[in-house]
Amino acid sequence: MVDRGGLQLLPETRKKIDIITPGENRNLIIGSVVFAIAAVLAGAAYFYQNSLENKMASLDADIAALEQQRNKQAEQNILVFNKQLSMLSKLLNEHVYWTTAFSKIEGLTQVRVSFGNLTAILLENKVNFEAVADNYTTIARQIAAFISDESIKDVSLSRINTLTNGQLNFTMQITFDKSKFLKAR
Amino acid sequence: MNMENKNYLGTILAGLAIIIFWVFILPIWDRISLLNEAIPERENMLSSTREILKKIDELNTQYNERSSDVARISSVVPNAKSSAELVSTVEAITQQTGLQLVEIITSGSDDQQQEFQTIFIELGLAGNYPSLTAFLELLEKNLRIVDVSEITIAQTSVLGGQASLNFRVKARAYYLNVNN
Repeated sequence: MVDRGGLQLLPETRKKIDIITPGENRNLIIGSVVFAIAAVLAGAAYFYQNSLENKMASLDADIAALEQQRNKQAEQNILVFNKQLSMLSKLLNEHVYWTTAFSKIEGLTQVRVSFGNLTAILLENKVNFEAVADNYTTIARQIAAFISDESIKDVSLSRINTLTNGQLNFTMQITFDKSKFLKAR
Repeated sequence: MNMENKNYLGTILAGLAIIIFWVFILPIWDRISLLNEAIPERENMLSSTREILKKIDELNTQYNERSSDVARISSVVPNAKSSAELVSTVEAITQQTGLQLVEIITSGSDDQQQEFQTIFIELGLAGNYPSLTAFLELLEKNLRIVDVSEITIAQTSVLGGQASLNFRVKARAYYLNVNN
């Protein structure tokens, strides 16, 4: 600026006067703080996620390693054996002893009765037989003897016919209780 | 920096924070939630797998220690059809009891759903009554379970007081269906 007689009304240099307005930086501070929080959160979450991912990968690797350690043959053997044991008890409970049945029939048979043909069927719980007796009384005693046994539920006499030698040929059916008639002595 | 710029900068920073939140933090948060659920499940799986493997090892040790008992029980209900063994068993029993083995017919059940399979055996035998009862007794005592389901006795002739008889014996043997 030109000096005109020594009086200088306007300053040669302009001095900026900063007027501090209250709350001037508020938005900047809030924005910075929010940004900083978001950045810190993002970083922390990222590291936490990474640590979890690593843990997960490690667990998966452990599980895979255990899977490799499995002795599949041994597992199969144990599985088969377990099945065999479970079947065994069932089959042993249902196992039938025809020797018990025949010894019962022998014990109950009258002296003057002789058997011819016989069919024993487990599924029907029945024994059909054809026998020869000397007279009707013997047949009646035979029926009574069978009925007296608790393992025999029913006795049916089908047919009686007289043979040429005077003896009586008869057919009979015994219905038995499997749980008593065919069980081990 | 004037106030206007400061306001802009503050707003931009806040906006960036929101973008970071939506773009980075929320997806990571979802993944973390997922992992936090999955990790305990994996840990449980791992510990239960360890326990199961330990039990299997113990059972396997016992299985090997008692292999003779296992073999005996396996003979009762084998895990294979073992028809050849069955036929040789029947033959041995008939020879021991003096019965004549006339015929053997075998067939199997087709039901693959069942836990165990059945082999049906029909035997044609000839001999006398004591031989039949001895035969049945040995069959009942046989290690492999054989259940006689039907017996037919037919008298053919009487020679010297001893009746000669024909027998038909239907029986069932079992084996484990390993595939089921």
